[in-house]
Amino acid sequence: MSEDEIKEKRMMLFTDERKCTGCRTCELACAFYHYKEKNPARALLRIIKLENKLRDVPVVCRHCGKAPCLEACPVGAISRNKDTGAVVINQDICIGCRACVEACPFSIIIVDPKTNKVTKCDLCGGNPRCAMVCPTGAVFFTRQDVGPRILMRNRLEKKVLEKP
Amino acid sequence: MEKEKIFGWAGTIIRVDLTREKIVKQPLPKELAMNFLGGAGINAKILYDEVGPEIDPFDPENRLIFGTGPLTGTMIPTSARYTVTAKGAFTFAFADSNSGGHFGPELKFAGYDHIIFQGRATNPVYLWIDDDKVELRDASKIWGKDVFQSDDILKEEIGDPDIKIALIGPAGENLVRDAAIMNDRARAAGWGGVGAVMGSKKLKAIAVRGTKGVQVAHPDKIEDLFQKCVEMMKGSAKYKWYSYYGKPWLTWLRNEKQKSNPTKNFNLPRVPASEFPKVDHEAFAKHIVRWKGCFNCQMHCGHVLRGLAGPFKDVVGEGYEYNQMIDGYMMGIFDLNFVLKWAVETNRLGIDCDGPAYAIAWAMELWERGLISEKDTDGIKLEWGNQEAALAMLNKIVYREGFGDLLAEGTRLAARKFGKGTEKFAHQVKGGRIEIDPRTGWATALSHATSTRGSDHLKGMPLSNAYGKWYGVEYNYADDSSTEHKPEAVIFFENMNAVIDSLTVCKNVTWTQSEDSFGLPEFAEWMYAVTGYEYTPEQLLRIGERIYNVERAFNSKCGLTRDDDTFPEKFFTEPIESKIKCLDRETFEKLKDRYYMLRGWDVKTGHPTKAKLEELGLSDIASDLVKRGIIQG
Repeated sequence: MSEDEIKEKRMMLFTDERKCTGCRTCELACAFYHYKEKNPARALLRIIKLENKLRDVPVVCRHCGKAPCLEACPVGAISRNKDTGAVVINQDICIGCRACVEACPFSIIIVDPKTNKVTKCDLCGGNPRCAMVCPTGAVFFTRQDVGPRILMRNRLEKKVLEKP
Repeated sequence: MEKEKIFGWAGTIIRVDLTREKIVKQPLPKELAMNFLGGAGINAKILYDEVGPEIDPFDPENRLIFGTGPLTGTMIPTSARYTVTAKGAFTFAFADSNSGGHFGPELKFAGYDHIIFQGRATNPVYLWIDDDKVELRDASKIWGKDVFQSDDILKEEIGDPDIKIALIGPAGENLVRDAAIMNDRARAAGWGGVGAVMGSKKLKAIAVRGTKGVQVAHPDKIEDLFQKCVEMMKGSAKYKWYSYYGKPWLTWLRNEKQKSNPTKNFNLPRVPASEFPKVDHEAFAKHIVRWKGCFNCQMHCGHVLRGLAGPFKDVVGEGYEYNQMIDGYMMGIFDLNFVLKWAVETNRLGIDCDGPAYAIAWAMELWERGLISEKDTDGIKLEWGNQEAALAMLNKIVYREGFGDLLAEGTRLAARKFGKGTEKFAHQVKGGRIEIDPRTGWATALSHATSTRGSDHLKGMPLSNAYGKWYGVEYNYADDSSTEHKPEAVIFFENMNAVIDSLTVCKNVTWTQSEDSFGLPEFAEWMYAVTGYEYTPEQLLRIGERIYNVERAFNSKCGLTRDDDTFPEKFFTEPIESKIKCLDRETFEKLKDRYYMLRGWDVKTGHPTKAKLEELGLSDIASDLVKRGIIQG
């Protein structure tokens, strides 16, 4: 396959808010994969609880094609991983200025509460744990071109869960 | 000396003396953790050690104890729960209550297993836990505000919208005996009036931010274990029902299979066939907007619901379960739009949903019998099925206004105060209202009668065939008409549930509900992966027995005896459609004899014996009860 073909077939994270139950199993699994501790405060994706609106919104890094964080970084610490397509931070270069935090249109670049370092989703090296553990498919990992079709079906079927 | 590295448990207890405004952090004693696990177990032991029989539930010397367990906040499925224990506001004896949501794990992530509150603040306060920093803050701004408002204001004041808060509403502040402690807005520790105990301490809320996480002993095992557990959970027979309908599915089971559903203050055996399709699980499902799960729960039995018709058409709220449906039935209201409104209002006001419903149902029966009229009820027409009246009275209960002041005492005390023979219409055991009709069968009756926190199905009612599976005997929980194996099964469930509430996980995904889901062998496996300690399933069950004996001993200390393990007259005399029709008194008492005997308790008094307590390593409690002259030396 050519490089362009690889890019097209790349797997990416998708979210469907209507399916999210707000259980945060994804946050727990994410933090555990990265830090070997049960600590959702360090998770690299977030379930935002808009309690007054009765919404639980999964927010994941979209590893944008033209990533604002990558462009905003003044020292070139952010780059794209060739294998996974993930936009990642090189902690050896990062100066902790948080310019990427402000540049991210989804505000999903995290400042770690233990180290105060700027961190972000790295797709767990190509096998994201959040999608692996999500009980309802509210966060899922699939080929970029397949994702929209799954979302489309979810919407058309208007069904969140199968009735027993 | 270097502190021993511990896994699972956070290792620290916070003790807050509200009178002296003193906060002390203490290490969690290893012996306590080994022998009582955590959550409900450690809470119960602390309560026994620190609260005497002379202490009124609202006395500053009562304790309000929050507890998480070694599994709370870990990747073990449903590790969301925490338990609150106190001398109960309506049991005047042991009471505990647990809740899900996200508060329990957050407390653990901040680094704490338990919080013990004692004393009473001069002015309303709240506790702010920001990892290592723990402080009491002025709560005068939110005192008097409802649960939703207070939640908003606190998050604003602290400046972090993602902190987790457990708090009381106006019901707790006004010492309504059914007041709940609410967290995540729609999750409640609703039993036992723990919210009223919190109110009596002038403690409005506990706000937590935890970023320290939980360390586990065998991190390499956890991911595989998690996947295995989820597969097992999803493969269990009841999963598909719970994950779609949640608890409301039970209304069908009760009404159609077991022919019993608390209706019109037990004046009807179940919801009439003409009304049931309006209020069954299928009618419920039409209201579902989406599903909600507690922290790390793959079962998602909660819902966001929407009103569909009538005056509550525009109500959207985080859902109700089977209990709130019963509340409607009890008041003769067969309309799920009302039930949603009732659920949202009780959450907002911080009151257990069932308490006021049962009290109002009792009053409705009085109204029907002509014992009360508009003169007594401040003009509210308490007729069966009157939705407006129910909501108006709920408000009066929460603010203790007029007739509501009487109902705020709960059915047992309200009936006692009102007199005129109305106690026979108050359907309770040890002050706790009856939610599952004991006339449906013997294990149901025995477990509700002997439960340590008042009539209750979550302490010992066999809801699965786990007893048969564990002991290798023929046992069918669904046929509750014979007395065979019933005391044994109830004891097994009581001990096992004590373990579950102490670990702590949710009963919905365990043997409590389904013998093909998680049970004692899984608990032992989890404990090893998380804490590194090797417990055998038998050892865990033994710990459960120890915990249950502590709860019972506390009740003995508070003056409860065998005579309190019984039901109001109605259940012995008025038959329903079930196989056993109604409770035969002689059979019931014989069943109790066997239960106490198998428990190793005194058959005459129902108290734990010295020998039993000592056998369980509770010689301190044994000598205390001997010293008090309650049991023989």
